[in-house]
Amino acid sequence: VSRGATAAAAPVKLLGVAIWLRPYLANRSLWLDGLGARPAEPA
Amino acid sequence: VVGVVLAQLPQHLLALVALGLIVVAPVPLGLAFAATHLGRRPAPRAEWAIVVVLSWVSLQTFLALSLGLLRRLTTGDVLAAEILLLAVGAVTLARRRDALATLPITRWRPGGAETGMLVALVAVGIWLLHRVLTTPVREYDSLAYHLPAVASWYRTGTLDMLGQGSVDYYPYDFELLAVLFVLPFRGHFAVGLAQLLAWSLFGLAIYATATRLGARSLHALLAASLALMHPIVLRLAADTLQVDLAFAAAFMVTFYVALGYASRELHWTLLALSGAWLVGTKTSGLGYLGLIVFATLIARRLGMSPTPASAAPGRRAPPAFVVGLSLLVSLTTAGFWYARNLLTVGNPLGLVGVSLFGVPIFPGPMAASELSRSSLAAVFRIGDPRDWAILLKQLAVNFGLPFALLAVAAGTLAVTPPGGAPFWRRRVGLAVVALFVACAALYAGTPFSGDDVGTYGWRVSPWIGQGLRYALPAIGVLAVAAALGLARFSRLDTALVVVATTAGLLSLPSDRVRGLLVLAAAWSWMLVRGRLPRRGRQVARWGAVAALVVLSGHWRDAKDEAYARMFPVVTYVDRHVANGEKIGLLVTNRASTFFGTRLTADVVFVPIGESDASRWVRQLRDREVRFVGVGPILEDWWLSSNEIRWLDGDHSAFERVYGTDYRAGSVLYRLRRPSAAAGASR
Repeated sequence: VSRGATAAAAPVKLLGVAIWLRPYLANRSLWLDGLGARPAEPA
Repeated sequence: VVGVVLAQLPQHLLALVALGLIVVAPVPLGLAFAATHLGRRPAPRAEWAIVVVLSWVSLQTFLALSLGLLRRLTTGDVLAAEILLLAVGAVTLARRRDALATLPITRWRPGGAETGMLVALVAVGIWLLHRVLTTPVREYDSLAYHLPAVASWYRTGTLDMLGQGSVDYYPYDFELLAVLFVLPFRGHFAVGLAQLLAWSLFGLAIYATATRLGARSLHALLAASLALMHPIVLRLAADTLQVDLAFAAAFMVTFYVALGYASRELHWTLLALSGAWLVGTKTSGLGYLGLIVFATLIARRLGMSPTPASAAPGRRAPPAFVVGLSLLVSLTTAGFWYARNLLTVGNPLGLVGVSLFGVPIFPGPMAASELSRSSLAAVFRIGDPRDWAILLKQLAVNFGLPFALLAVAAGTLAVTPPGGAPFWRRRVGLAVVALFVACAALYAGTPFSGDDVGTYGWRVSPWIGQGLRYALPAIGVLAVAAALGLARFSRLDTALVVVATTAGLLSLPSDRVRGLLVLAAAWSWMLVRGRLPRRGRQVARWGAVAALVVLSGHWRDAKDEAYARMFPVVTYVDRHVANGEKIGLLVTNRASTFFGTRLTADVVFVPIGESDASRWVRQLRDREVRFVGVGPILEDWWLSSNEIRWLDGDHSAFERVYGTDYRAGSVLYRLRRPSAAAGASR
C-alpha cells in the first residue's frame, strides 16, 4: 500500500466513524434539559 | 425554602452522621485485612484500594445478610453492628500500629495530563452525585423489582421477597448494599450512592488491572475514564438500581485478583471473596467466574507472570482465622440466594429448569434452553443487513464516542510495531484480547440480550440497546486492552486528555450544560488552588462542606417532590394508607411506588383468583389485604382478565379510591368491609 493511500484512508475512516456516531451526537435537547423543563414522566 | 431546610437541619445532620458511620465503619477492619494480605512487599496504592473496597463490600453484604436472616435488618440494629465493626477494626488497627507505620506503599503523584484527566473524572463524578441525589429512580426493572426488594426489606427488616415469580429467585447482594444507603434517610434519597460506589470501583479496577499489566498510569487512567463515560454506564448509575454496573465492577476486581493469584502474589481467599460478590450479584456470574477460574488455572500452569516486575517474592498467607472468616463470608454472600432457592423450590436457580443432554438436573417451569433462545447470539442473523444496522445504531447510541476511542486504542494492539514482536508473540496483549473475545461471547449468550423471550418476535430490535449493559464486563476488558494499546500514542498526552474529556461531556445522558459548568468549576479550583494562601484553602474547603450539608437537605426535599410529581400514587399512599394497612398488588411494573415516599406501606403481591370473584375476595380478606393496587398494565391480556373485571365491575367488594387509567398509571381499590359490602349489595 502506498503512503498516499494510507494518508487518504485516515480521513475516510474518520468520516465513517462520524457518520456512525450521528445518533449519539444528535439529541440536542440534552444540552438544555434540567435547566429548564424536566423531561416528561415515563408512561 | 431556606427556612424549611434550616428547620430540618438537626435531623438531616443526624442522618448524615449515620451515613458517615455506615460508610466508614468497615474501613479500619478493611485496612487491617489488606495489611495481612499485602503487608510485606511494596504494593501500589490501587492494590490497597482494591483490597480495602473488596473487604468493605464483603463485610457490608455479610452484615446486612446476617441481620436480615435474624429478621433484624433495621436502622438501630444496623447502626449498632456498624459501631461494633468500627470498634473491632479500630482495636485491630491500634494493635498493629507499628507494623502499619512502616507499610511499603508506593507513592503516586499525578503528572499534568493525569491531573487533567482526574479533573474531568471528578467533574463527571460530581455531576453523577448531584443526579442520583436529586432525581428519583425511574427505570422499568428498578421500579419493578430492584427497588421493591430494597423497600420491602427496609420495611420488614427481613429478606422476604414480594411474591413476584421468577425475580424472587435472583441473587440480590447489590440490593442489600443499597438498603444500607436507604436506612439513614428513611427513603430513596441516597440509594443511588450504591451505584456511585459501583461506578468508582469499576474504574478503579480497570486502572489497577491495566497498570498491573504494564500500562502507563496516564493510559490506564484514560482508559478507565473512557469506560466510565459510556452513555449507558452513566445512565445506569444515574437513573437505575440495575445490578449490571456492580456486576461489571465485581468482574474487573475478580480479574485483578485473579492476575495476582496467577502470579503468586495474592492469596486465593481474595479470589473467593470477589468471586462470591460476582455470583451474588447476578446469576450470569456463574459463567464469568468459570471463565476467570479457567483462565487463572491456565496462567498458573504456564507459570505466566503477568506483572513485569513481579520477581520480588513475599506473598504471605494470612492467618488461619482470616482465611476461615473470608471463606465463611464468601460462602454466605454467594451461597445464600441459591441455598434459599434450593430449600424453597428445590432448585438453586429458582424457576429456571436445567437439563444436561436431555436429563433434567434442576426442575423448573422456565427451561434454560428456552431462555437461551432470547440471547443476541440466538436471534442475530449474520447475513441480514437490517440486524447489523440496528446493532450498529444501538452501539452508537449506548456506547458512543468512548467506545470508538477504546476500540481504536485496543485495535492498535494487533498492529505490529516497527521492529517489534508480532501480536501473537506478546503474551499479555494476546491474553487480554482473548479474554475480551470470551466476555463478548458470554454477553452474546446472555439470556434477554436479544429479545424479551419472544416479545419482539425472536428478532433483533432496538430493544437490544438497553441489553448492552450485559456487555459491561467486556467493556472493562476492552478498556484494559486500550490502556495497553495507548502506549503507541505516548506523544499525544494532552490531546488524548482533551478528547477523552470531550467524550465524557458528550456522553452525559442529560444536563450537559450543568456538566460543562461543573467541569469549568473543577478546573478553576485546580488553577486557583495553588495561589490561595493556606488559610483561604481551608476556608474554601469548610465552606464547601457546609454548603454541601445545607444543599443536600434541599436536594432531599426536591427529590421527594420530583418523586411525587413523577408517581403521584406515592402521595396518596403517604396521606391515605394508614401504617399497617396492607396493599395487595395484582399487576404493576412500579411496585416500589406503592410503598410511599418513606417506604412505610405494607406491600405484597397477591395471587390471581381462579374463576370465582367471591372466593378471591375472601382470599384477599384472609390475607388482611385492605387495598388492591394495579397498573401501569402494559400487557393486553391482563386488561381483559377476570380480576380487572371484578375490580372495575359492579361487584360491591371494591371501591376505586385512587387513579383513573391503569394503562398509563397506577390505580388503587379499597376492599370494603364484609358488612358494608353486604349492605351495598342488598
